[in-house]
Amino acid sequence: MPKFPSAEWFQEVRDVATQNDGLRKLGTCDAVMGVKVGDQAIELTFEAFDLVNIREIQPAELANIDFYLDAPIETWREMLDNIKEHGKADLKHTLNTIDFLEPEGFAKSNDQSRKDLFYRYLQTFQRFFDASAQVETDFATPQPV
Amino acid sequence: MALDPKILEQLRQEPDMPELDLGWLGAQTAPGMAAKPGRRGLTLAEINVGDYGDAPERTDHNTIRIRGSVPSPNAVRIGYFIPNKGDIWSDNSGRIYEEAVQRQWSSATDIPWDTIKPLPDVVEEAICQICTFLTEVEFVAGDAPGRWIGQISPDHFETVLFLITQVVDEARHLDVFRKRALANGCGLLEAGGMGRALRNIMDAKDFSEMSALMHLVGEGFVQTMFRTGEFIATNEAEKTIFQLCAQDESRHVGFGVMHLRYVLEHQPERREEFHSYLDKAEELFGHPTSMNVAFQESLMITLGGGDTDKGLVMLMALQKKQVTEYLHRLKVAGMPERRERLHPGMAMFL
Repeated sequence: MPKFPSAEWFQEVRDVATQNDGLRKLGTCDAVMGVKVGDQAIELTFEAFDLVNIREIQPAELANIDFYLDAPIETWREMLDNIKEHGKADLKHTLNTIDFLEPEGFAKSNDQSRKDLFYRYLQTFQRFFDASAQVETDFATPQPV
Repeated sequence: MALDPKILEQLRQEPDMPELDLGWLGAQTAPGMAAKPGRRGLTLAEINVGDYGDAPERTDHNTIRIRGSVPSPNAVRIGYFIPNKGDIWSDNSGRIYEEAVQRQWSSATDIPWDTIKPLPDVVEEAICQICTFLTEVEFVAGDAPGRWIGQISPDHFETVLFLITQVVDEARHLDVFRKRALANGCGLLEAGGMGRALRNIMDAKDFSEMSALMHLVGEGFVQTMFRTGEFIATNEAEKTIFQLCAQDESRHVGFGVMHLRYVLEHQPERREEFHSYLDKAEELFGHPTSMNVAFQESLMITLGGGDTDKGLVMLMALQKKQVTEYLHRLKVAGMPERRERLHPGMAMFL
């Protein structure tokens, strides 16, 4: 069972999301998205109709990519548990709703124009995370502060 | 590809046929062109090679000759196009056009309309008031770029293609909000009367002015509003509507940011001109003649889930986000100094 967050977990989600041209049907998506959970960071490169590269990076490198999703592990876990329970995010757990509710936003970037890619390809990213409903997930235990 | 001279001669001398000119044969400007599909298919980027890809800095022929084709001595002028590339260009228009074509959706069949259930009257009416406002806004957002399509040269066709997708997007937005208003027992409510902010867009005399007012100010603010719409959605239908509209709107904003960047890089003398357009737009933010009380109150009701005090706080947060993102986009486009010149009526939200 892959651990969240890890390159292995995202690879499994990618494999589910791209089945039956799942992402292709939504149109092209060209963006480099980061995922930040605590001091862990993953870089996901979406190109054309696929997620073509997944790699673990240092959090400092997030400054160089288009945008990254940043939230405490509790928020990620609630979202992914909700997706698991319903087969996809319900009304209160979509990426965009979380972005609205998080005081500092869920999607972050130094460049608003690159951050807008999150909203431009929202359907693709939502479909991608919704695919995690079919992946067994082991959540990393948060480190005590 | 060369044609066998014998076949040419044979065609010319065919006894039962009028003599053919065939002067057009072999006239291509870049023979041997064989574009290949890339990862995204055969997109404009793949065929924009050699002379075909070079959008001229200036175009004066005023005919319908599309870039890359050979001039015809018999061509008539069909109007006066905007001659300068810099006045209408954005480096991402071809890509955004392709993206828009791929990401089209149907308000008739892609929205799960059956998820809409009866709502408390006040919530239903608030949603319908928001929909009423958005149908008006989207009408203008389609009409305004439509007025410019005929003025852009076929040498700069990428901008035309993008604008056409925007018109289609806005048409769909208009119809989807109209459908939502009529889908659950309420219907359209109070018209906003097309406030001065929208009138400003329609009055623009310059393409860049129109783009600044519409893409950067208007659509930037509406994009944030659409994203917020996902939060106020009471069912999957509304959530889908706002999500899809936010995607579309982000493309339009993306064009505006890149157009402004292109202008500032190639026509730096126009910087102050842009400030004047933004001055005009900003002074109307919150101005009484631009206020749409019905829209704002309906947002407070939906954001607060019926609690208007909570809704007011969230509305203020929304407006802060709109202004913050607007300034960030201008900074990216090359106008970081706008923050210092921001109109007080807008700065109060920061």
